[in-house]
Amino acid sequence: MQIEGLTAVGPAEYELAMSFKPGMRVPGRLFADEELVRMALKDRVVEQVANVAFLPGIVGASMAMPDMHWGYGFPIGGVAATRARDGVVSPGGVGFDIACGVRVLRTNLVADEVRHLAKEIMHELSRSVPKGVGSHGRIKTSRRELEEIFVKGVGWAAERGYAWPEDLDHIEQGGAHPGADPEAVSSHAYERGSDQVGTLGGGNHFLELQHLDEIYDRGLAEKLGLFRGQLVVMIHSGSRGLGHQVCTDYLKEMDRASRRLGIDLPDRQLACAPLDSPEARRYLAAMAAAANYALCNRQCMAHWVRQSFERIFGKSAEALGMSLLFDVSHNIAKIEEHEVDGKREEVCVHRKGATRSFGPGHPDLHDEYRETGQPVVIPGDMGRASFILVGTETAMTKSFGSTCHGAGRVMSRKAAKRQFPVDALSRELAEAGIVVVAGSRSLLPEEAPLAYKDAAKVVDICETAGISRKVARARPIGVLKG
Amino acid sequence: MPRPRYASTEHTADIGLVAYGETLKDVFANAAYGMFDLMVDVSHTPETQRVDVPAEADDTPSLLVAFLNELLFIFETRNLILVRFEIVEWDETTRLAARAWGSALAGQQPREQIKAATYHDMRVEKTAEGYEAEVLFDV
Repeated sequence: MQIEGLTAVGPAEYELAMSFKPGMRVPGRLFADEELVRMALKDRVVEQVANVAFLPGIVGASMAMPDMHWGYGFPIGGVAATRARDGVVSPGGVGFDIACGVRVLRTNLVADEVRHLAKEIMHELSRSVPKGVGSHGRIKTSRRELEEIFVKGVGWAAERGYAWPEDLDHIEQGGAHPGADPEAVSSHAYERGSDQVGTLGGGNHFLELQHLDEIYDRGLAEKLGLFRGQLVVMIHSGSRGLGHQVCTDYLKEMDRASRRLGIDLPDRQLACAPLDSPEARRYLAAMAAAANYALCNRQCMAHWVRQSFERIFGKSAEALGMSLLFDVSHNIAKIEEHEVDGKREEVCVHRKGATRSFGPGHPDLHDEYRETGQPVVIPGDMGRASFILVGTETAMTKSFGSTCHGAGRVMSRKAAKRQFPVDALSRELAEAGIVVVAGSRSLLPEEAPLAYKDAAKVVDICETAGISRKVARARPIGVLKG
Repeated sequence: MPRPRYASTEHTADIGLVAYGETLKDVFANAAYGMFDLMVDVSHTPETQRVDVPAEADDTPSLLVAFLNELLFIFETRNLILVRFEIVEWDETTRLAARAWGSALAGQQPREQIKAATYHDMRVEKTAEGYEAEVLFDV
């Protein structure tokens, strides 16, 4: 079947021909069903997939995951791999919220047995985790401490008692991205980062109490320490103002570099520089620093979640089984080895609203997940469901080891505000048994469930395409928003 | 009816604005005003504090983006809502020095949480009535 330049090439896969826009170096590939393709065509996502295909050194295809929507520069849900030896890195392919991501803490509690405590738990969490626009943290960090966070990531938190030693094994890159250089981070970024460690922020970020109400694969779930009825905690947050400043600073540098080098790009937000240039090296060093800050940020919040549970249940977090399942980042560029044209090749994989999804046996996975594949955490909207998946071998061959990152918006923030008045929305969520604590009631409607695609559909398309596999569904019981 | 200083534009996940003005300086000031007005209701914000705002870039559109990003930096680190802007010195393309007046954010409910100005779709153009500029923000 063909829809406006897009040809179905497999179950849930469409190819965008290079003839769509002269200048594309590779075709585009959309992981989608027909309905999503039609939605994408109303958005500007297809044009953005084509634009990303202009990046020098891009290999395979310019990809979009099924949660795709119009972004700036890259589409949200975009994946692009560029050859390390002659390709570029583009800060726009990582985005402003560097290493924005999600983690899940397990518990050994049965959700239905503690549901009556949901309000109390949410208010306790609201007291311990700073949230909202311009939120300031409980931890003030000096320049020296920020430098340590940039290099050590979650190691810094572990030294201060904010992490269990085994937490580090359950985070991408062992809790610290290599190559971070504190000198590559501007003084503006230091200033923005000085009091935001351990803060949730606003927008689509959240902290949720969830109930695993459906297990799709019992064997896998068991190996991941998950069971039907289990209460888990999901944290979605990023690198706050610090990451935004790093992106802002380097977009400007890359914009200059692109023009100096005569790199022809259809959108200035795609500004880039060759991976072996000083600009790219400095950006990757600053990006790693911001990513480590984001990991540390989620770690500190996880620590306070554990403390809150200890206060409520009068037991240690260890006794409550509050181990970390996994922490994934969905806005990041990483140097990885993948197969390109039948050969192993080092590439820079940009994931802009996409999650790493390494399959079983991948050497980068910790022993615990070597057999299952990497756990992938997909946050959904606050009314329906989030999902826990695992990576697959097919993802390694089809999508540079990547899958979706969430539900993906379908409605602008203004439209959502018009359509979902805050009182009606709050009532609806309350009737569904979901306790919502929001820092800014006025912003709640922007996050209304129907402003998003149904994450269930998005993860189903990923499973059909083979780029991840469903393990469990997590329904919200309590939601903390900025 | 006087022409509005700016109009907001819609995007699937983010928000943008088109600013209008008789002169380029007006457009920069109106874009800055519009950005803060998208973030909170600025109609009662007193002008009790003044800040100096420097920006530099390579051309007029990226200078506007740099100016807006510098204002967002000031908002985030000093909690200041700025409502009046004056460009005191500039060359229209690579550098500017502005003054801005406003006061600390206190109790207003946020409208939008703008975090950065992007290069996507940015433009500054001469029109029959003067100038207009478009910017998309990361929310």
